[in-house]
Amino acid sequence: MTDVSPTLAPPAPAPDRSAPPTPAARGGQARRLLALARRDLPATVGAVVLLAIVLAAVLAPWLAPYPGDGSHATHPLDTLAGPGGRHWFGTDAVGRDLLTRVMYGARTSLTVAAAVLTVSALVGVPLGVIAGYTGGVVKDVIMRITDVFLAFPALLLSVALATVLHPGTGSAIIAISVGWWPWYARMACVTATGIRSRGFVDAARCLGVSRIRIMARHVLPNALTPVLVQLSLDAGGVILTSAALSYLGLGPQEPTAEWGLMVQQGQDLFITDWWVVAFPGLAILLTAFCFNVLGEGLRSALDPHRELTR
Amino acid sequence: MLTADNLTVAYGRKTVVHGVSLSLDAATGAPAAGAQGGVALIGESGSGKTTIARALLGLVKPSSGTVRFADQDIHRLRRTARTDYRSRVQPVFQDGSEALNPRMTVGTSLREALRLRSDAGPTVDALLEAVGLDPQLAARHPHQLSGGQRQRVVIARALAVDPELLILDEPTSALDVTVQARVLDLLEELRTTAGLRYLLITHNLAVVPRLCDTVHVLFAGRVVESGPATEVLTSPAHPYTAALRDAIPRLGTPDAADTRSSAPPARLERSDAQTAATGCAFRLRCPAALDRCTTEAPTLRPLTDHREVACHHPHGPA
Repeated sequence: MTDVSPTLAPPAPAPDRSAPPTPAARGGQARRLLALARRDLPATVGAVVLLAIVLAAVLAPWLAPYPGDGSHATHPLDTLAGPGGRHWFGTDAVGRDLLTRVMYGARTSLTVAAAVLTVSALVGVPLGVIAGYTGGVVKDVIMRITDVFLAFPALLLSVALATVLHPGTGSAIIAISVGWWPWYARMACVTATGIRSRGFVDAARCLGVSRIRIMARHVLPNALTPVLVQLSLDAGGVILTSAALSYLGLGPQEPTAEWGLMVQQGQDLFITDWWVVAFPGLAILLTAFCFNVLGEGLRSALDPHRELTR
Repeated sequence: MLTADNLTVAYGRKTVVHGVSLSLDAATGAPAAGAQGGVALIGESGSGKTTIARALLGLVKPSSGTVRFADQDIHRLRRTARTDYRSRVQPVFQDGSEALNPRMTVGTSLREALRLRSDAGPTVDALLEAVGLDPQLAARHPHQLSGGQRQRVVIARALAVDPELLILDEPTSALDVTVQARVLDLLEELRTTAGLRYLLITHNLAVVPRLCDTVHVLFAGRVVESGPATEVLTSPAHPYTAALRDAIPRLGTPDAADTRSSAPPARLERSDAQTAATGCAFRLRCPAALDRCTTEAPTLRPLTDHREVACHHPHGPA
C-alpha cells in the first residue's frame, strides 16, 4: 500500500485555495457572493430593496411614524390628507397614516408569502421526491393527485376555499397553499426522477443504504437548487394572489393593514385622492417585482450548466 | 461465487442483453501463481457491458435468466442475505464525479459506507490511506478533487464494506493515461492486500491482461467469444475480436503487423443498420461473412478446451 501512496496523493495539493476547508472556504464564499453581486446588478438591487422592505416590516412598530394607525387608531379630523411633510404617503378615509399602513401591510404580505411557501415546499417537495425516486405506482398515485389540484385554476381554487373558510389571514394562507403545493411536488418529482439515475444513487443502492436515507441524504439535497429558485420567483406570485384575495374581501379583514384590502378600499377615491390606492399598489408591484428579479438572478447563478468559479 | 445464467435484459421493447452466462469467483484464496484472478468483459459502446454490470449488481431486473450469488437469486434475497451480498460485491463506476454525491464531503461519503458494516471496520483515514490518498482530503467535496483522486475515493468507498468482488465498469476511461496507469497499479495491489477479485468491463483491451485471465467478448448483447485473456487477445477466433484488437492504436512496433489478422479489418463504426436482425448480428461488418451467416445465427460452441466462439468461420487458434 505504501508504495502506491505517493502516486496521486498530493502532499502539496494543487495550488487552489480550498486546502484548509473551513476558514478559507468561508472567506471564499463571501468573495464569491461579492463577485456574483457584481455580475448580476438587477438581482443585487432586487435583493437590497427586498431587504429594506423586510426591515421596514419587522421594525414597523418602531419605525412607523404613527404605529397606532397600523391597527385600530383613527383620526376623524385628518382624513384624506395628501402626501406631505406630516404624512409622506397621505392619509386614508378614516385619517390613518398610509406610510404606517403600507409598512404594516408589508408584515401581513410577507407573513402570508412566507407561510404559504413554507407549507407548499414542506408538503410538495417531500411528496415529489418520494414520487420521483420511487417511481411506478407510487409516482402515478401521487402525481395524479397533484394533477387534480393543478386542474383547477389556482386563484379560483383559493377563492372558493377562502369563501368557505372564515375570512382572515390564516384562511388566506390555507387557501393559497392548497393551490400552490402541487407545483412544488411536480418540480421535485421531475428533479428526483433525474437524480435517481445518477451514479451516486446507484452506488448508495449497491452499498445497501436504505431507501429513506437515499431520499433524504442523496436525492433531496441535490433537488433543492431548483426549489430555492422557484421559492423566490413564487414569493411575488403569492403576494399578488393574497392581494387579490383581500381585494375580493376574502383575506385579512379590517383593521389589519393589507395591501390588497387597501387598494380595494381606496379604489372609489382614485380620481380625487389617488394616494390612497397608489402607495399600497406600488408596494405590491415593487415587492413582487423584486422577488422575480432576485429569482431570475438566483436561477442563472445556480444554473448547473454555468461553471462556478471556486 | 456470482453467476449470470442465460441473462437477458430488455429496456422497454429493446433487448440489450441476450442470454449471457458468466461465472465469477469471489475470493477463494489467492490466485494461482501468475494468474490474475479477474474476468474481463470487452466490447464496444452499446454492446451491453454496462447493462450486464447493472444486472449483476441488482440495479436492473433481468427480463429472463437469473443472477445468482452463493446459489441464490439476488432478486429474491431476504434482508440478511441481501446485506451479505451487498457487502461482498461492490461496483466502481466509470466517472468518479458522477459516482460521488456532490453535496457530501469525501469523509461523509465514506462514513455512510462504513456505517453499513456489522463490525467497526477501518477509519476514514485508514481507507483513504489504503487507496493512496492524503487523509486530509476527507474534508473536501468531490469537485475539489482531481479525476484520479475521485476515482480513488470511489474505490475506497467500495472497500469500506470489505468486499470480495469489485465490478469495475470502465474504471479508468475517464482519466488521463498516466493517472490511468496509477489507478491500475492500485487495483493490482489491492488484489493481494484486500483479497479482491475483479470483473473488469472495458473497451480498452490494453488494460485487460493486467487484471484478468479470462475474457468474454460481447457484441450486440451476446457473448461472441470467450477464453483465456492472452490467448483470445493474441489469436482471436472471432472476426469481431480481431477487429477490436486491431483497433488498439500502437506506435511504431515493427512486429505489430505480424500479430494482426491477414483479413482486412472489420469496420468498427456502429449504427443500427450494421447490426443484422437475422442470422449473425455481426455479418454486415464481417470481412468474411458466408451465405450461412445470413440465415443461421451462430451459437457459442467450444473451440478448444478453454475457448468458446460464436462464429461459423472462426480463425483457427494460432
